[in-house]
Amino acid sequence: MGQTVSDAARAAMPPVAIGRKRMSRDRKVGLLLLLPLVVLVLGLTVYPILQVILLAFQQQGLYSQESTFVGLDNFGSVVGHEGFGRSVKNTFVFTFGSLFLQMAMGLPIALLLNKSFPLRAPIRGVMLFSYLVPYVVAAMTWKFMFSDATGILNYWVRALDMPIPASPFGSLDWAMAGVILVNSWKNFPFMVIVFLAQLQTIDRQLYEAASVDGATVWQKFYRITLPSLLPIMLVVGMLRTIWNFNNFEVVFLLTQGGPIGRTETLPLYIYRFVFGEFSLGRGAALAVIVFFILLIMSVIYWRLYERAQERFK
Amino acid sequence: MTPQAPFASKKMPVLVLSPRARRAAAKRRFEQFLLMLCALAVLMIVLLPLFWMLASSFKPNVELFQRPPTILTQNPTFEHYVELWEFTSFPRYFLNTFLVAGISCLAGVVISLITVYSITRFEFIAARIFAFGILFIYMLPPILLALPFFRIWYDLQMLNSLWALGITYLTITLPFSLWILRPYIEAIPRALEEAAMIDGCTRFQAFRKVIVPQAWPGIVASFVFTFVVVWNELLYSLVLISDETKRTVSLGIASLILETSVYSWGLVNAAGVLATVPVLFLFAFAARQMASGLGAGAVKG
Repeated sequence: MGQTVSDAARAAMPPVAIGRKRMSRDRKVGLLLLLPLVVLVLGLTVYPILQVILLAFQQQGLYSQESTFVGLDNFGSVVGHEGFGRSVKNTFVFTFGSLFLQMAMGLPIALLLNKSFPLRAPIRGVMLFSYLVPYVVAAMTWKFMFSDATGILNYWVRALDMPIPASPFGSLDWAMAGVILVNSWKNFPFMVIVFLAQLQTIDRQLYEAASVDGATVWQKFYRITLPSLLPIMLVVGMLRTIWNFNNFEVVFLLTQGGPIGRTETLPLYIYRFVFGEFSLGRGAALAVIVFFILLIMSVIYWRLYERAQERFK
Repeated sequence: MTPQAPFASKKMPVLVLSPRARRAAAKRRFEQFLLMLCALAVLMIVLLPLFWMLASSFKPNVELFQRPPTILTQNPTFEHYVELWEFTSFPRYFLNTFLVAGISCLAGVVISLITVYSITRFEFIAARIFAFGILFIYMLPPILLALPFFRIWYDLQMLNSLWALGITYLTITLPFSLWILRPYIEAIPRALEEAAMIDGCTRFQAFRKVIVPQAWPGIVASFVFTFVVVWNELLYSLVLISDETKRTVSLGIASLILETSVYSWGLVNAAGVLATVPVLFLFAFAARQMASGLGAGAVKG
């Protein structure tokens, strides 16, 4: 309806005459409207980032007002610290272990939910539940299921004499597997949503043509589905790599980095430095290092993405 | 129903099918039934832990320690919920979280709305790059921002302030709302507004009467989305809040898990259920908007 009114109005009077004059005043209004965002981004992102970079070069206690410039000392001392190598290794194991499990769960489930069957819509909706619940709930329920006196999985592991510890979060060898499992349970639906969205864009005629040419199911998957998914797999792969890398909640709530540091990832390591040892400067130096690791990984993903785009377009 | 499955379509008159086609239809339906069973089985991965939390929250304490564990209790009790409501600060935590999430999400949506409007209508190229570059804020390690935020609010003597927490959450809600709202507002034909303005509306009236109603699904979607994210957030509240009365729900449950003895698992489960309910309720309420918002964001964002 609005469109017809506008067309009539356009026919009635030439738009140029009113357009010009309003434009210049309007542009000022437009700039004014951008102001809140600019102020907030400067105050809430640019300033904090500058501050964290400054802090990284200063010796600064968490609550103290004094700070002294120490150059690269903070970087030297955190990298030299015995826990650094361990938490870098833990972070990579956690990040890519989770990524692998999330992909391994997300892709087949997306392929399944892309078929048509009764109750598909509600099943797709409910599949998101674990992604929607708070991290504290995800961590709490798994911790509860594996808890010693009350856990149902704890009981079954013992009853069926399974070759895994009944309380994996307290086990030296299995704690990492446990936190990866919970992180993947929490986040795999994200993969499912994105893959499903992409699967729906694939032209059905491709599959029909392939069937006519006698392609097997596996060939169709390998030649049509997988190449169509590859670019988006790299994009979500990058997003989830970053998010897994930055994840603090899962490990903090389940193991607090223990037992004896076996699951301490970099965000927890930073947290411990700052709020356990009250060294804001060293924590900031670590945070800057984390930022650069993420930046390098993002660039690598971006290169791979461009290559995938070129190859399959 | 997919187009390549005409036999399964209910609109097809079954009587005209040949026996062979009918057998094919029956086979197809059987296959679909099997697929549904598979999907339901997979769904259990998601549902069982949550179901277990729900079932356990109604169990009397004695039964929580029973071995082998009972699946569903014979004597359901609300004692854990009553205890949570009467003897802990959780009602306060819920109020706190609603306030903080409400403020930061509302502010995030309003600011995003006028920003996206300004960018799409006035075409400032630099602003466009700037505004959508801030999506990268979302990629920054939260711990990286948590450190300076702690220091900033400490210097301003605003640690333990829910306002400070709400403002900090804008770093989450703003990029998200911008990202979700953009396709909705870009899709509104400019002719609609021009028509309203030619008919005598001021720009603000045109914005209120044309843009806001047209973008309403997007506004709802971004509010719901950011609300869920803030509701679930833990790190900033952990860092900025130490006062027991200012905790958010996530922080309250985290403290229960980290400080609790095994004897209060019923209480923890009840808290978990109550923390999950608003999220699922909002999701159900806005499922359609969220689905289309996600799709639109994914395609155009």
